[in-house]
Amino acid sequence: MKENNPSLFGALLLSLFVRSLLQVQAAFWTRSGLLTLLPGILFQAAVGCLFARCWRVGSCLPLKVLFVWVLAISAAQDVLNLWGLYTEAYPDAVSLFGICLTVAVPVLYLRRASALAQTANVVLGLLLAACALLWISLADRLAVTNLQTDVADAASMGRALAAHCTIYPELLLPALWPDSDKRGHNAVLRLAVFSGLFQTGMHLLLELFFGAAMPRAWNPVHRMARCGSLSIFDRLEWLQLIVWTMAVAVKLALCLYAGTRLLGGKGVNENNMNGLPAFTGIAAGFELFCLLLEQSDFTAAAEWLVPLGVWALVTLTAVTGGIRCLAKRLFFGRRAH
Amino acid sequence: MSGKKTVFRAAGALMALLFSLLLSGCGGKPLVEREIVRAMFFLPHAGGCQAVLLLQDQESEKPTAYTTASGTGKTAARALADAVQGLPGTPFYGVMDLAVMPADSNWEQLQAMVDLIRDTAQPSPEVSLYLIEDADAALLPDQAGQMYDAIQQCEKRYHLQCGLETLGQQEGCAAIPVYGGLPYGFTLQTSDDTRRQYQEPVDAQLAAVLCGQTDRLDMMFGDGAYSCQAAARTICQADPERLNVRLILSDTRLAALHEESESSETEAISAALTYALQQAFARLCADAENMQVDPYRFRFGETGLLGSGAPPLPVTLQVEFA
Repeated sequence: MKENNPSLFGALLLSLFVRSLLQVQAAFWTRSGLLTLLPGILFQAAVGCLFARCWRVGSCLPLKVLFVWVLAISAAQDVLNLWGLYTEAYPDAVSLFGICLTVAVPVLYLRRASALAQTANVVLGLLLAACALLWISLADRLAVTNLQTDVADAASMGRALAAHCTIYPELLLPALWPDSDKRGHNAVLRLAVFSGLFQTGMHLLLELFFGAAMPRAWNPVHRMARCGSLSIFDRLEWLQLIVWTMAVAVKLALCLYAGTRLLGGKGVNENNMNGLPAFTGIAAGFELFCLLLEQSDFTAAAEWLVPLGVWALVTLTAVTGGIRCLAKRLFFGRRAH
Repeated sequence: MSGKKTVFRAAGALMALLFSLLLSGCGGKPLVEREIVRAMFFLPHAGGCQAVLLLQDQESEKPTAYTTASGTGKTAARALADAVQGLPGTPFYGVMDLAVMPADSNWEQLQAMVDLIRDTAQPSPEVSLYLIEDADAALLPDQAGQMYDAIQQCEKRYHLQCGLETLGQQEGCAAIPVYGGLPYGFTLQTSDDTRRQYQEPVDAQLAAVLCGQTDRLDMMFGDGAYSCQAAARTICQADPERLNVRLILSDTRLAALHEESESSETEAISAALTYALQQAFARLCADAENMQVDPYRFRFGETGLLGSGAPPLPVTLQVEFA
């Protein structure tokens, strides 16, 4: 029943990879990253599983609204990051309004869950192929001696652990679709493993290229790609940007799907959740939201706003779920007596 | 039914409006209306700084026809802003590939200029960095085009690559080629402003090979008696007693330039080349030790073998002809 129950694991994985590439970038040294990889994966998986378990018993309207708010802020953050990338490649050429539209138009097609799943798998494949090409392109510029030898101190390990233990909203999304067809088995654990490995792999590439200059590099992945021997990353920059745009569009569609599922009630059609008029309204609202955020210093605020929202959501869900579980046991316990 | 149709029509019209806004808003300024910057030069000028932008001459059909725009100011940033202000159009940095800075800049000025270039030339691919010495600030606007072409040829001939992105690969130390005509020189500068400059081709080119900025030796040695052209690569091998740097030369072409040279036998020239490289290597290692930096990354192999904090091993050079 692939048509009715498409797996959205690819879309979740793609969203985490995009976050790694557009947002995290040069956060830690590779050695510290490798040492803290396992604890980070276990922590992320544990929090994700706890949230999924508590969400089933503890979800209520205020929590759903909070979840939608976190998703909206996170999506706006991605759009603004993408806009930053565009303005670096083509300064003064593209407005935020244009970027919002460029991203929102593909979502018109991706608002169907089956289309979202298929497109996400294709874009994920393209992204991984581009990463492999990047390694090949930079092979002659990478020096093993650029790896830093005296950096595994407490501060460096702390930074790496913080990066690996960050809970992204995407790690909480599998809790929304409880049927395993839509997320696969052990989805949270697999997401944590793949995203941790991908993030550490990108940091290895950055450290091999930039050496000690890595923490100071601005937008390092993009700048590194342009220095490669293959001119595909330079001359065909528009192709790269299309892949970026598609990846962010998939992420937006995923947020829209999750938001509709959260607030749409039980009557919504799984495979066609938003009609065209409703979608146009949501897209216009989201654009206005992004344009408003552009006026404020949102990029800096989002760095603490999203984690704060995620942790508030996890904590409140755990508390609500725990209380409801306890109440149920007490209630059933009394009735049994 | 008609109400639903009206909603669909309204949605379609809204989408069409959004599309048209998208298409009209993404035009940007066409390239022909921009000033295409090819290179950026900075020189000291009357206690401040002079910035010269080398621009593509868009009215000429020759690809090597340039114009310049210059500006002065107390800092490099002000000088650059002054130069940009004098331009008739908006500058475009997408094809800029060279930045030249004065050789006598201190560490702070160097970092400030590198940051300025990185922030200004945002969409450009990798920008090559060079230092220049004793250039006349008054003559620079006229000579910038020739200098740009000459540095491009130098890069091509010597396979030299010192990019803006890879400048700070080793903490607290910058290794940058110096252009003052061919062959190129080489400078090591530390964060406490200790500087060592190599003008001898053997020293400068060996330093560039060890820093990973070139894979080619093309030089005269033995007081101009011999010449060498070879592809060069290095492998570092550490054992508990020493760190051995293997310099592997392939496709080597050796020649005696003077008739009165002591020997024109290939073996004798190879021996002379090995001797010259060993001497240069000893000088480079002694300088790096005095400056307390590791621009050639010798400590990496030692740390892998003995752990961090171990006393440094003696470093030796072994020249091999493949």
